[in-house]
Amino acid sequence: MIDMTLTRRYYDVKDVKFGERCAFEGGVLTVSKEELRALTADLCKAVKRVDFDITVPGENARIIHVLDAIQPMVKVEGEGVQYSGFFSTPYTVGRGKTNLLRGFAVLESAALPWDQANASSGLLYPRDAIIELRGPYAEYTPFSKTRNLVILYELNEGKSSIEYDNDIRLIGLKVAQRLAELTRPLEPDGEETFSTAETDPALPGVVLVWQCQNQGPYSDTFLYGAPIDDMVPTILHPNEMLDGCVVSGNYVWPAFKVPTYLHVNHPLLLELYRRHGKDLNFRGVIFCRSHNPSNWHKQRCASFNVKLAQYLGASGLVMAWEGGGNACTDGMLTIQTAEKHGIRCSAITFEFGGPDGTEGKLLVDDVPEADAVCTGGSIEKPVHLEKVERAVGGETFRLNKESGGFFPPATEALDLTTNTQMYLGGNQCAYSRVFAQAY
Amino acid sequence: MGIPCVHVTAFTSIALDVGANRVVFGGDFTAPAGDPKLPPEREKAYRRKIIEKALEALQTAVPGPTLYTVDESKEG
Amino acid sequence: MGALRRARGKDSERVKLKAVHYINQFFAGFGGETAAGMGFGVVDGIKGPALGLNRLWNGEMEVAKVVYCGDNYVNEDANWETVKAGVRAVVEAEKPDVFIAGPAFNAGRYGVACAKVTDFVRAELGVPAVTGMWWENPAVPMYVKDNYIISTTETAVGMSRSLPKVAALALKLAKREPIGPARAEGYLPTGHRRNECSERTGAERTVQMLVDKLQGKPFVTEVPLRGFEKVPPAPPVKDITKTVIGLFTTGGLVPMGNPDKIKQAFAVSFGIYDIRGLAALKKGVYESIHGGYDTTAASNDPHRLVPLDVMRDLAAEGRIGGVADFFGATCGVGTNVETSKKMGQDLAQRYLAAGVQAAILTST
Repeated sequence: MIDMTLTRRYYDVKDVKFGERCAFEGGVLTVSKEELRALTADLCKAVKRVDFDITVPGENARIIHVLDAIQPMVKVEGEGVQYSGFFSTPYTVGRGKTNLLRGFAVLESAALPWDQANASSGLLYPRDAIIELRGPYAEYTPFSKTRNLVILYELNEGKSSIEYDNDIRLIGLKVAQRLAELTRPLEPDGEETFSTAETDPALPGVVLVWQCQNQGPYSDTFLYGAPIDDMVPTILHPNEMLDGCVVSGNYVWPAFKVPTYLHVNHPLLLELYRRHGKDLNFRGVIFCRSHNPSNWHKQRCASFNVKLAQYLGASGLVMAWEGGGNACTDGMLTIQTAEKHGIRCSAITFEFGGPDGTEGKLLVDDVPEADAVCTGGSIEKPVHLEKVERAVGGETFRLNKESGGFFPPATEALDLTTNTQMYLGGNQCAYSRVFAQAY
Repeated sequence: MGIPCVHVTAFTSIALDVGANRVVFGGDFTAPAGDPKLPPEREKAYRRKIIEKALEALQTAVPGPTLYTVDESKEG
Repeated sequence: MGALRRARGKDSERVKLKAVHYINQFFAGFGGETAAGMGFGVVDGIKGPALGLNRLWNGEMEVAKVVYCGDNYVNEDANWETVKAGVRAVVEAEKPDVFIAGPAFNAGRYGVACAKVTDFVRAELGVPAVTGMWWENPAVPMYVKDNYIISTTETAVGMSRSLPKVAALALKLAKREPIGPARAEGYLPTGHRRNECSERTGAERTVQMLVDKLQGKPFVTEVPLRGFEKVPPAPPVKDITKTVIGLFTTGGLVPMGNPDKIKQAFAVSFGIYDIRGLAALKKGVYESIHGGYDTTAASNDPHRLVPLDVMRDLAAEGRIGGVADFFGATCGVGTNVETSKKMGQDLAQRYLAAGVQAAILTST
């Protein structure tokens, strides 16, 4: 698809502050709470009220009750708009020009209710997600390095999970869009053009298979505005993802989900683009859902993935997924099927292994063909969080729902037995440098 | 310990890989001994088929990890 | 344990580090198979690979004593106390900074001997210890978890390539320096893994690994695939119409309110719930608290996890002997292997005590 050329125009955010009017001048972003509240007033149905807070890189603080994180961007040229399908008709995106506020993210924080009607069923309630802005766990997410506008949602009682989920998402996207719009009249600080046109056809074709979670409300992913239930694997041009065709609605396990910000700035996708024309030809993204209900369904999906890879002329495949053991099985079957068809694979996933790594198997499932697996680090290591000066998002942590709830103060030190409450702790989109070293 | 055990699950690859010796595939992973999409009477009949297959597995000498299937439309 | 601390001052005054070296009858010069039955002894002077070690250490450390034992002798259980006593005596007399055994390459009995003695010295005499052998030596899975085993060539032909790695690690251990990762120091991965920060992101490393693979270059997976302990199948039930069957689920089915507070993930316990006289498991009386799947279907009809309704029918029809008085439940997500084994053993004891002779396990 050589006409799918996208230029990203970067606007560096050097500071963020509150003020009377939203503005972006000289790299300083001024945020007006009143303007944003007025902008999102008609979206507040299950949401009662929004407030805002700002964090700076490396602050002595943490952010809790984190849901999604969004890359503010606005499409200034080309068919469709950013996050196509939301507030818009879902035209295919990925061409033209899109402005991005760089070094800045919009985060959503809300204490979604735990009551029976909403979020009781086993998997489907959002566990408290923690972002550390300094210390060893800051490495897990880009948000310890970005300036963040955190939207703090106050919720009306008695609504359904779908209603909360929907409001929160739409408000977040609207706020991100409004701020990105401020870049329209300005010249960017930098630009990058993305195209999969091939300069050296002899290089091996490589695809990224990106497998996302879809198990119900709070555990969902959106493609061009619609959830991916029962989706058969499909092909995306990488630029479509850069322009936000994939939006996250996945909050259930903080370690195993990927926020919208990283679907849009996908580390594996960007790395494949970086090497395109040098030692590989990036042929495309195969997008599929994980948590297929049985091995029969999983193999059906795996076989589709491989057929699409073959259609794209791939001789190499990078396999990555969101989710835990269930998703691992899906991923492993794709690897197995691909290797059996002569397509070489590599993959990345978190590992188990118990506190010292020697326990049992490192992965829930594996296949003999999975001979090139990078480690995203072990999630079974104990976590010690230090006391911080402030906690954005709430006064207490919300932990251990299934045994009655535990609500220690959010600024205090905390010990956890695993890192599953740490946002992006599973390193599934391969963002962080954390890995498990063998001793 | 010598107590024969049959494992009823939708994730048969994991069960076989871990070394469960008698594995019955049935249902889906949110309802291994059932199928919420069926009307209750038919679901109970389906559950019975799964359990009867499980009983068959318990009465069979197996050499190693062995998979039994119930939903004929979906397997093999 | 303590050797003298290094004195500051001129080289000639500094006290050298000391090692004790264990080898077998062959490397001690007594012969091969025919001498494999000989007992523990101390070599007169310094012989065998210890000479090579001394050269490699270039004055910083030297082997104070070489001890040996016949490969057959040391592997016989009846002799082990004697061998240990012999090693202990030498170590207590010499107070070495490090203990070295082998390398054993692919020799099975010698490998086991080296690993066993190394393990004993480290664990019970408190002296840092290292050995070396080929990665497929049968001693490796038995001892690698707690011991440093240098990865050597397959046969002693590679002694000159293997010994330097043994010497280097031994010196580090003697100096009490921190020991780096397996690949850096040349020992076989023990299974211990620590979260650290790489210089490269996961994305960079994952793509690089694929590029290496596509270019036919060597690559090393970061996640070794470990196997599970193979459990042989239990013999089949002889007469199912007389057999009491137990039900267990990892789908997290518990009485409403989760009275035993079973964890929704990384569970460490299982619950036992009385079902005497119950014909069915009702919605609202039981629920699933598993943290890894949408439990709505299971909580709406608990039989989707614990098929009591069908089991009671089968018992009433005489198709099975009966259903156990209780069902067991835990949450199967992130449950670690050791804990799971203990749960299984505990459950099996309960079944035996209750006359349960077969089980159906349902998993989500």
